[in-house]
Amino acid sequence: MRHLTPFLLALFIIAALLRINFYFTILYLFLVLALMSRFWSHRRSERLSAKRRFVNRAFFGDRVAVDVTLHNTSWLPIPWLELRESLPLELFTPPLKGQVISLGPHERWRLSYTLNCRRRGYYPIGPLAIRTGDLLGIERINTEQIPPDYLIVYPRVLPLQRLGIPTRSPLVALPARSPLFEDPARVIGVREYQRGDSPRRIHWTATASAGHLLVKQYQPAIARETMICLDLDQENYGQRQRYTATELAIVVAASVANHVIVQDGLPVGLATEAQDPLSDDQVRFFLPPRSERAHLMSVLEVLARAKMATETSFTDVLRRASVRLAWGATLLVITGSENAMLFDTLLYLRRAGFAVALVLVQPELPSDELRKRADLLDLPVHRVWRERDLEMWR
Amino acid sequence: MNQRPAEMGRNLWIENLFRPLVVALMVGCVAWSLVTLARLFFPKWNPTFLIVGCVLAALEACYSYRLLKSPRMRGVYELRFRATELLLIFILLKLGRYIGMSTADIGVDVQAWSRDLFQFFDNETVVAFVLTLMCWGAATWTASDLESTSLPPQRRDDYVSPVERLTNRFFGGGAVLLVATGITRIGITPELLNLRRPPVQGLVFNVLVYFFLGVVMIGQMRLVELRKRWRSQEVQVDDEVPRRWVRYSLSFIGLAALLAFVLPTEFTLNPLTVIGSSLSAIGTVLYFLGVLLLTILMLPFGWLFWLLSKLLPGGDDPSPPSAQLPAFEAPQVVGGDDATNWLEIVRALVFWTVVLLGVYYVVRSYLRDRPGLREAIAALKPLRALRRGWIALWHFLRGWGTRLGQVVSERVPRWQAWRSQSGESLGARLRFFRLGALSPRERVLYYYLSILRRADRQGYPRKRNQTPEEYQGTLAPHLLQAEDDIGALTQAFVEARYSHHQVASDQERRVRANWERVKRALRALRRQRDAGKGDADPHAGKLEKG
Repeated sequence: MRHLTPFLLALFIIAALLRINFYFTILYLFLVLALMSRFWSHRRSERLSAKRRFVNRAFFGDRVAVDVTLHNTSWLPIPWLELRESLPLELFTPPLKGQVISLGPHERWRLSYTLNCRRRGYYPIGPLAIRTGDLLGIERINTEQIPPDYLIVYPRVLPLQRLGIPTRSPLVALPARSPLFEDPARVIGVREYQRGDSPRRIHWTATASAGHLLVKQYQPAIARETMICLDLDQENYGQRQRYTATELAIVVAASVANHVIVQDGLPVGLATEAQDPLSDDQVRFFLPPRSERAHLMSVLEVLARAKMATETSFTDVLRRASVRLAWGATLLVITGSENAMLFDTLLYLRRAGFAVALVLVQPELPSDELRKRADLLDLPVHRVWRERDLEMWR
Repeated sequence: MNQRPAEMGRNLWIENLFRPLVVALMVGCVAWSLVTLARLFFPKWNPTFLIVGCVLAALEACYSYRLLKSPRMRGVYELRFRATELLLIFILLKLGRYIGMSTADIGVDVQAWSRDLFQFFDNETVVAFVLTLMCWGAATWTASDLESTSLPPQRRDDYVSPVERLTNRFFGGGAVLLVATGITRIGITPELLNLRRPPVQGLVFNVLVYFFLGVVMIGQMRLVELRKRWRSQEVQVDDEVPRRWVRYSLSFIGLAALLAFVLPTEFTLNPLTVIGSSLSAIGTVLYFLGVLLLTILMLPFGWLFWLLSKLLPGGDDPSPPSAQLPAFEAPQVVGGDDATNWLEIVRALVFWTVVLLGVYYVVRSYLRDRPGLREAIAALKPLRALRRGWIALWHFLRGWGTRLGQVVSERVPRWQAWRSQSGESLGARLRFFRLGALSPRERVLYYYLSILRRADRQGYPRKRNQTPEEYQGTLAPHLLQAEDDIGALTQAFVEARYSHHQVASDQERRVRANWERVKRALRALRRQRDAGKGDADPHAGKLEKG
């Protein structure tokens, strides 16, 4: 009612000039209507509560039920509410249309729908836009938004029977011939103190018995950890099937992580650089190897969120990831293409004592030159282009 | 719990009966006032037939408009129909004039036609026809706008929506109605311009009917406009919405009318008289208080001088000073007559305060919706000077308030102890008394700190080394029914306190709702404890969170 105010002013002037009492009643009528509309609008927005309930983690292929409940906590009714829930197209089609409802005093209303988790990712469910207004159009239409909640859909995890990646032994930490690394938890004997030994190694009990300084001797060991290094730089994947290839790379990473933790009970970690929708920035992820199920969920969560990145340095990711690994750990490198710099890095890692395997996600088979180089380095290379290619590990 | 969507079909009862009747009645209300005004110039008129004629013409206009929308009634057929229509109206008005006349008078008039055809078009009939034509035209335009409300908007720069046209016509017709009725009631005399004449009492029935029906129609039009928008956006409408709309509209308007009838309308004094008399009263009271204070202060000195004068040799023997206090003289009524008493002043003061507050609110809302106009007005020099003066005065008064608080806190130990517990300055406390004066960010901070104080009083204090999130973990288990609200309040506080993000008004309103729910939960907890139930059962009264 754009001209309500000028009319009220005119009414006031007419009433004051003509001195007709009843005209003030008419003036009051409109003033009360305006005031009540305003009061009613404000109370509405304060007294309406909305809640969205759903399980915010799901696996690929799951169906997630979402319940949206609106509750009018006031004794004043809400004549109309226009609701629009924004949903990701990847999870819900056809798009959910808006709905207009009316809520009486203390009335609840519920909307239920189901999301099909057809694609992994990090999805905002909502926001729920709510528009409401008064009965006469005096007040502006109030628009509010209930913030979105987020759903994480984990990537596909394929069951693998065995992994064709290099291992040392089924033990978590196994004895090694090379004394370069020692396991301080395993004392295998004592020896004479030598200049340069740390005072912490002194075996005081034996020293007291023998009368001269003796130090503990630890067993050399290497750790059986697997670090999955996932390359998500879009330049390293073919342009035409970039999306398919990176998704497959993520499936491979997820399947391997699941197998190592669940089947083998061994620690696995993840290193990658990807676009993270949570921070809306390119982020380097490093999850150190651990063997708990909760850690597996953390890995899957990162793989669910990770998107293709640009201008990453995958070789730098590899080198930095290896710094924090114990000697003898296994690095599973998943990428879309090989190049000289990558091979140099892989060679460096081999020489550093890590077991390295390369998984190429590309449509064409590895070239002969690649095979020769890999053979020279004793580097297992696997090519994956379809999910059934993972059957080599089944 | 989901409800079936409503059909978006048109309600035939509303379109074929309700709307034409309402339009005709509203037009009739205006016609009533205009006819009554015209009788001041034509006292011999029979107004009844004319008012009925206007109502019927308006009703006919609504139906003829719908009839002429048919494709068969285009071009020549439409013109023919309209010409016939208007001719019929004229003839019926002419015949209506004869109601109440004797057969002989009718015969004389008919004979006059045969002699001079122009006698058929006498002044009274022509004026009646013009008036009826105006009513007919207004009804036709209204019917056209009512039909257009369900059509999609046109893409033109100068497009005015049908609802806006209807509303403007409603206000315009209302203004005409008010002026015509007012002049009719008072009469066309010099008294019309006399602002000191007694007010006109009593209900004006046609004005009441016109505005009541108009507001109901506006509510109905609002629903039509919204439904048109929802239809274009393919939004499902629950079938309860239109049903409840009618109920809520009638209840809302009825309640507003009830309140409007209760508010004061009696006034015998104009606002200047009221203001002058009020200022006079305030001045008189201040003067009396000043004289009283001076008298009390001077009394000891008076006694002292009297004693000295008694001790000094010579001179007269003065009488001791009188301890009689000055008498209070009733303040003068400014501008009123001898019969005006202070009760009338007070009544008039209440009346004008209510009216002016309402007008102020409406003007403020109008300017709030038009920021460009508000800025243009604020840029006017006199207003800018006034605003600067007001701000300076406000700062001055606040400074005095702060200094007074400091003085009091230094002098009163209990006040000091209370301040040291709360850790807030008195100025900050006084500011919190008026939440409306705070910015949205300050209000969010206030809400959170208020919960800390309340929880502290109930035995859940926040430790000095606890972060807000940690404290949330401490408090939330005791208030499970408000767990989400505590989380939302904490988050909002952290954002308002530690970030530069702007805090919007709608965000502040949501936080306020969270705050109120947490307060209710704390009160419930305190009541349970007082009732001797110990710690509240965390599952008791847990709402299904909505």
